[in-house]
Amino acid sequence: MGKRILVLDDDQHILDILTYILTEDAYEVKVLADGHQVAAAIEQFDPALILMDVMLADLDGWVICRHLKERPETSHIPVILISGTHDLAATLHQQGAPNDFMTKPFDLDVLLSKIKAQLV
Amino acid sequence: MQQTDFQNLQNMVLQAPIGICLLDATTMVAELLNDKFLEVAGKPRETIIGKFYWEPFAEVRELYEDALKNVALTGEPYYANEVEMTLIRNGREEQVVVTFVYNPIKDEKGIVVKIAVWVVENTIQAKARNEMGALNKKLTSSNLDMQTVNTDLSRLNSELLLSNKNIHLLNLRLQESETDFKRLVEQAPVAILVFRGPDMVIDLVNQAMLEILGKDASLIGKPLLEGLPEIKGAPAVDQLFHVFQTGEASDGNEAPVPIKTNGVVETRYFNFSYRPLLDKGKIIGVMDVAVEVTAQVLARKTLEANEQRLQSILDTMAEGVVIVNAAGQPTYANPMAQQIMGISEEQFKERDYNDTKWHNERLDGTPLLREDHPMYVVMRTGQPVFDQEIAIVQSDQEKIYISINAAPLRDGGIISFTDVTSRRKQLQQKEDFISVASHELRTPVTSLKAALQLLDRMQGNIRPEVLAKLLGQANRSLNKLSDLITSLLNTNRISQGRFPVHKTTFAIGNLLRGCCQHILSAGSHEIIQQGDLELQVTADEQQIDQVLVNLLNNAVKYAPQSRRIILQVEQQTHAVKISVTDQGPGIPADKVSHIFERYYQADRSGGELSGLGLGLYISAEIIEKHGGKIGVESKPGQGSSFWFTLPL
Repeated sequence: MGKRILVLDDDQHILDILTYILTEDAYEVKVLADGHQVAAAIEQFDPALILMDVMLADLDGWVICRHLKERPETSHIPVILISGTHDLAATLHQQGAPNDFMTKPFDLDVLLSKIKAQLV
Repeated sequence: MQQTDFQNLQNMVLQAPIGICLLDATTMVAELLNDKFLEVAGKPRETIIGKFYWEPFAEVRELYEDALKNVALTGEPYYANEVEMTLIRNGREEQVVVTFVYNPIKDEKGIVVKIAVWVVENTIQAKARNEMGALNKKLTSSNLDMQTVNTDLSRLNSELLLSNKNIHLLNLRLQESETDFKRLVEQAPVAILVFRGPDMVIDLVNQAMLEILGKDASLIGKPLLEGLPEIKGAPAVDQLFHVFQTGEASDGNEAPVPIKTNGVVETRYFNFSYRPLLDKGKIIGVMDVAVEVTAQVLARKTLEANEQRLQSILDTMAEGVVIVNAAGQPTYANPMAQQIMGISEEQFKERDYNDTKWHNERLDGTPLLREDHPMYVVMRTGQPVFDQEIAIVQSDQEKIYISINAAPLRDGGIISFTDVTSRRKQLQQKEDFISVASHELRTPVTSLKAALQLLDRMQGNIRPEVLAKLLGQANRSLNKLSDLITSLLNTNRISQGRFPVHKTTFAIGNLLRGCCQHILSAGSHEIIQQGDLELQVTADEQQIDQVLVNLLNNAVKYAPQSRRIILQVEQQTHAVKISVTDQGPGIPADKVSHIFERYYQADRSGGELSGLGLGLYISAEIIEKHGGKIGVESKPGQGSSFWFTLPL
């Protein structure tokens, strides 16, 4: 089995498509629609990378990312944030920044190459 | 001017409430003066009478000698209104304010033979407006009787004897005196009327008075009310009769008197002095010395009316106005200013514009420095400032935003401001909405793009079920996108007023059945229709359908566990009420009040529940356009019932 990727997004369509693409590219995918469960999911699934939408139901993906980066147990896991705005470019230099980001609508090829880059 | 005795003329002049001094035009020697003149001059009689005028009045000779000479030369009177001068009165130097006239008195050939000095002291009322012959002081009535007149005459006589004039000259002098008096009165710069008897028969009226009345000498001999019938009832006239009856002198200020000029009766204003005329102790008539002040009074009234108008504009305008003095201290705050700030005018006056009680802040929340306050900028640069927004904390600790215009005044500044808090809130809401909207729109675009990209990649190598799934996804995304855009467009059209209503009459039941279809076919919910379903309503069918679909979709979306939705139609007196009830989680009270607002989203989550939050706003607008009402009854845990009415 390939490397494990945890995908967090509350849009079912996106989750379906991402699952399909990533699976086709030989990754093992777990999807999560609810940000509250991210800690448990990480512990259980032990992903090699986390793909997360900035806007989740009730939660800010950016806050979750910072949280993950500050905890020693999870700080090593690369995180790619997906956002509808371009603000994230500036945040790459702040504390708790994700490893990379994508803007919506995203290009599948670009996404795949970013993931690959993070998993090298 | 006829019929009046010389003595009575003399009486009049000597008793007049205006200081009078008669000078010979050639020698400038004082030949006659009255008590009032002495009072103003503050010098003993013997220092003035028979003397060259500038001897007793040396202290002001330099100022006025040329003017006096000019009067004799040109025959034009010289007026000095409320002038300040230093006079030596009663032995001391005094600063006085007087109004006086050097009035030329001409003989029949028009040659200036005498000059009459008419003077009134205004020191006390120096702040009052120009008045020629101000008659405001009450005189101590010292009625000269024949005795005093005789004394004066004999003094004249003795003075003449003393100066070695002969009897012939004395006779001439007496004759001259009468003529002098006549001319004095006739050519006086103030209007004079003399009345006789209880009917106030007009005995004497000088040129100045005739001009004011616009009448000619035919007035003489007529009783007052016959000659000037239009003035009957004026308080000044009643006062006149009162003076005759009681013998009490009286004065009037800015008294209105109706006078007929050129056939039209106008109200004109006079300052006047009434003095009773006595003969051997008996009241025989009244002397009226008057000055017309109509122009001043009207000017003042216009000024007052303007001020009042300005004041009422300030009082009622919808902007707060504050006027500050040169030190930045408020001296006036209009009612709207008090209302916006929540403090009284007195409280305004206690603080300057930079007082900490305002908690002035910039828009970003940082404290506003004195140098940046618009009022400071205006007073420093002298240039006005427009539409500058700052934040202020009101008296009850609430922060508000105001937009300030400030401009300098000659001795301070003026600030006008409006409360723009709701404007800013709306802007903020709009901005929030736009960012949510753009995010929402991106989501279906993202999945649409991803699906198509996948399809593209997999061309020729695609399993049919995957193809079907991706195509289905693409379509759903596109539909979602389309719906969102339609919502946005509708909102835009509503706010621009381009949302026309096309009404038809139809059975409400048909509409209800149609709009439930898509939910019923999904099979997840049961919709129960009850009530007066066959009621005919007149409305825009498509728009009401939109409303119903929106309410039903909300019920499904926000109360997914509630399997049952009830659609109820209820006929009321002049309307039909339709309600959509679910048994879902209900809506908290604090959200209920905002739920129909334009940019309000009760639920900010993403995913399937997302939307632009415009549905209820659009529904509310539609119902309102139909003249109906919309509302919701809901309690947390007890489901929600959205209802609307349409007029029948």
